[in-house]
Amino acid sequence: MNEIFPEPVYRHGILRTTKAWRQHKERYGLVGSKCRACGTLWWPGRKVCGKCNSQDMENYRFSHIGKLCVHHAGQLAFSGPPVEGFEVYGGARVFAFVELPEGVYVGATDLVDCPPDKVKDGMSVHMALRKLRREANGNWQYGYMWVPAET
Amino acid sequence: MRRVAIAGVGMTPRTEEYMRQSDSKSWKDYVIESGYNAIHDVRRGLNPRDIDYVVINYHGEASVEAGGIGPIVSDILGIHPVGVTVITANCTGAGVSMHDAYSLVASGRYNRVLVIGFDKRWDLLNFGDKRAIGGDVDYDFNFGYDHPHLQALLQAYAYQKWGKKKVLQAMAAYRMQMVWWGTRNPNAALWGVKTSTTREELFDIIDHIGEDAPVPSEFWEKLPKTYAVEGGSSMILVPADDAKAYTDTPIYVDGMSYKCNSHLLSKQMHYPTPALEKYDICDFAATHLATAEAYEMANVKPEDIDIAELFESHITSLIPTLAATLVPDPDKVLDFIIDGETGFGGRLPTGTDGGRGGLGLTSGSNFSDGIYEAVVQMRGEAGERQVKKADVAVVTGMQGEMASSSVAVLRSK
Repeated sequence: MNEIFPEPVYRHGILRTTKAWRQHKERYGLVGSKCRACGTLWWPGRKVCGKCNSQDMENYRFSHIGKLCVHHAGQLAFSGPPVEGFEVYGGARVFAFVELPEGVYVGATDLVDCPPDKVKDGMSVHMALRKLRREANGNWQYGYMWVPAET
Repeated sequence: MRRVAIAGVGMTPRTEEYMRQSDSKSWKDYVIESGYNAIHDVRRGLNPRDIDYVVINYHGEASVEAGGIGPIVSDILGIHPVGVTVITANCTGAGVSMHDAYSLVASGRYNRVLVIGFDKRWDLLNFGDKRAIGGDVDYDFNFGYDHPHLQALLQAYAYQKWGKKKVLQAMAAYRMQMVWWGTRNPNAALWGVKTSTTREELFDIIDHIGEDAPVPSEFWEKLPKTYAVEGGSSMILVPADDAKAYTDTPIYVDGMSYKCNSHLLSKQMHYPTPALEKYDICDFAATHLATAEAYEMANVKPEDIDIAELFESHITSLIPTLAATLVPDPDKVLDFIIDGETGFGGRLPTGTDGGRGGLGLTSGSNFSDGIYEAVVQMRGEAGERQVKKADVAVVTGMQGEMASSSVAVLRSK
């Protein structure tokens, strides 16, 4: 290794910070869409209503509480190299679908601050903003996770 | 619209012996080998220069070193200046390719179209990132989820819906069938593989699992494995009226459909439109809709279907794709599997090449691998694994986490 030939870092692509930033409202605040024409709520947000095709959409901030619909805890039956930046989680992730009171589902999404053996489908959870990973460009990426609503 | 036929099929083997050469083979080798295998399979001969269009597909971005590979393909096949359409649709890419190629021939635009699906899996160092692009990149990928995570959630939901023991029994029964088929296929990853596991052993472990208890590691260790491999497969589509000029045994493509729902599984739990709202993540809406359309186009009924090549590498994809064929009673799909109806001698032999898991999971060619096997069976050339009656076949592919599905209905007459 020297100045001309630096240590190689194996990455197949490095994304600009703006790529992740574009979705900060969704990832930080669970902001989706509501169709002004037919009233349908959409998570994630969208520009065209998938029900009536109206382009008259507005931001809609979904509830930050929900119910665990189905989850996985423990080792995966099949595993391989993790997505870049998520090595730190190892095999300890508990992940799930969360059903919001508005009738939409969020997931796959992480459940944290709860021992795996205490996780139960149907339990109430609320949203928490957490570090997701360090991106290949060096910046921290944040996003929603879920914690038990009742302790 | 003209009726369309398959005049030739080709594939690269997925055996351990062949996979040992993977370091020395590039994606171009798989394209050339599978493409020319199909050309040589045209029994009455086909000059490569007479191919007038190519549709090709691979897993997706980051899989190969050049995204716009059409001109490269035309060049390496030695058929310049023939045009090439490039498609990326993960594991059902070859179904989308076939759908487009079918339209090109049926419409009368072209007379000899080569379809190639391939995957060069191991060139990418962080294979996890490549695999994850089969999901929703903005959410699944950015939140660190790839196939194993999402499949684990799907399986957990399947446990809720059908009962853990039933799902595991169906999985065990199907994997043992997979071994039976795959060890009789000289092209399969399972070829030459010995397994000492028995169905009885697996069922005995399942019998002792509580509904709320984790599945013991012993079960996963004994369960026959599926194989992630690489390679390519291909087919040549021609007008049915000309088919006998190429081969004595053309196979006719009478139904062809492709439907999309969503990559993101949470959207599949709730998508408030009439066509999709009755389905959840275990139903796989796209395969039901595509199968229904392909059946209607081919004018076949479930009782007409003799064999199936489905996307069945996971129990969570086997159940919905099998249900969509409507051959089993919709409420008894798991019993149908457990009772051996998808095995040799069963009502609907399924995955007769070893299936996607036993032949070898090859993302870009999964669908064309299924077509290859259906053609071999329908010609009566499957040797030890030849099924008794293979006049009508259904071939089903799926993309990513149930995001889309392509379905073909084939007839031998």
